[in-house]
Amino acid sequence: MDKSVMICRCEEINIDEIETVLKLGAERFDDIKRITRCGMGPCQAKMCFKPVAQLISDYTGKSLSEIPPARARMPLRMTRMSVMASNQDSGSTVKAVFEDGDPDDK
Amino acid sequence: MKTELIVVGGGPAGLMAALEAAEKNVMVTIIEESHQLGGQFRQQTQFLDSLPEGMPRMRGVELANELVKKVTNNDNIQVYTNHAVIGLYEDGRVGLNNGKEILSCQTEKIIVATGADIQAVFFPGWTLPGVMTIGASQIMVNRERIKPGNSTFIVGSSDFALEVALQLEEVGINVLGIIEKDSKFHYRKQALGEQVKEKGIPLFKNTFIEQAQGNGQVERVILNHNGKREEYEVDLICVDGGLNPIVELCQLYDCSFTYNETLGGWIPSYQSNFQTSADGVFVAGNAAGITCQGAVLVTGKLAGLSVAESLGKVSAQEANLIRSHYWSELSKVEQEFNPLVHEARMEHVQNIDQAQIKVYES
Repeated sequence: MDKSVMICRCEEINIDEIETVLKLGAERFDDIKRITRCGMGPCQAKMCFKPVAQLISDYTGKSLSEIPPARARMPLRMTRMSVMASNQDSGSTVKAVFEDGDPDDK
Repeated sequence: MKTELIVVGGGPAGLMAALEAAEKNVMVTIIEESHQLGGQFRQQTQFLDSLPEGMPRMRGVELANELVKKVTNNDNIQVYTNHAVIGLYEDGRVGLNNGKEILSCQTEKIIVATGADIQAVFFPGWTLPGVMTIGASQIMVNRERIKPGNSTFIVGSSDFALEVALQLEEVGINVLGIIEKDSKFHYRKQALGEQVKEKGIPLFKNTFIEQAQGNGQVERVILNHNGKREEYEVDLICVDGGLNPIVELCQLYDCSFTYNETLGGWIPSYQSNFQTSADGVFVAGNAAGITCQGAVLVTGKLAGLSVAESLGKVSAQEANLIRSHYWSELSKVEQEFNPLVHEARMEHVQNIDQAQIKVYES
């Protein structure tokens, strides 16, 4: 397929960019993510994991069962900073930063 | 907030799980990120096949309404729509985002019923406006009452693709054809194939999209049909790349995963009670492996029952009896749909010991 075809729509990463990282030795989705930002947009790799895994498999000869899923991290859904800062629980670092500035600056 | 069971996802599996647990006196909290319960059933206007015992033949929307009504009238169930689970606290509380603030909810057990995402199909021009998944086109037509285009090709030949083709045709969209890249079609309901042919919608094997073109939106598509290039004017392309289970929450719980191609790829490993490798974390519905709608409902019942058992609301003896009954129901509806899927599920459940521990950790 044409190398300019977009695989990660959120971060606009195409096949060519992914193959460049494969040539650097990438073996799993997260390797590609760290270098290209593939999978770091709003959908959080929900659309691009499978096609990227297929590209890795085609390039490395690994089977799809040897290519681990993208690592999920908090927050699982897009969350506004103001919402994050409204956490009512004590000890919220984000809240503290919003209210008092960065504690490291003091 | 405090509850005995959080059900993540208010779709068919989540609603069934909540009802099953609530019936056995579990205090249930459903967390649903959209503004409405019912999940993907909300736009399934076609009749559902292979429904579990005691459910008459009905359309997805009708069943959604029925389940929502039961859930709303159940005193043991609290519903939070417009709330999304976004993470976990160190002490086990579940973090929720309602768009205004972060709330936390303490719970004994959790059922992950987060469903699946429909996948795209990739070709030059697939990101042009006018290219969308068959699921998206169905939501537009059946839920939002918007006609997404005038003439279209459907890419993919699953049962769902054929159902959507018929629904689009019904609202006056000219379906020029259903194309399948493989040498055979993937739909399993022969009656659907007949219906599509009766409507005059052609089906093409060995056919794929070489390119979609247009200025700012889809205006034409170039097909490769048995090696021959054909060009058509269309303003809509509906693609079916299959379903992918949504299971990130299981990663936060450090659940073990297994790769199972037939069930949709990486899914959490679970036992016959649908509990994952993490204590108190259960899965249900398409998050436990892609299957048919009837099976989605039964897995919800299984997870709900097992939670009630683990909370001591049902004796182990009684739970085992009901569970074996539900499993035979699951096996019936799933075999009717596709014996290979049921075989894959059995294998998945039996192989929990060989699950790959935290494969996603790098």
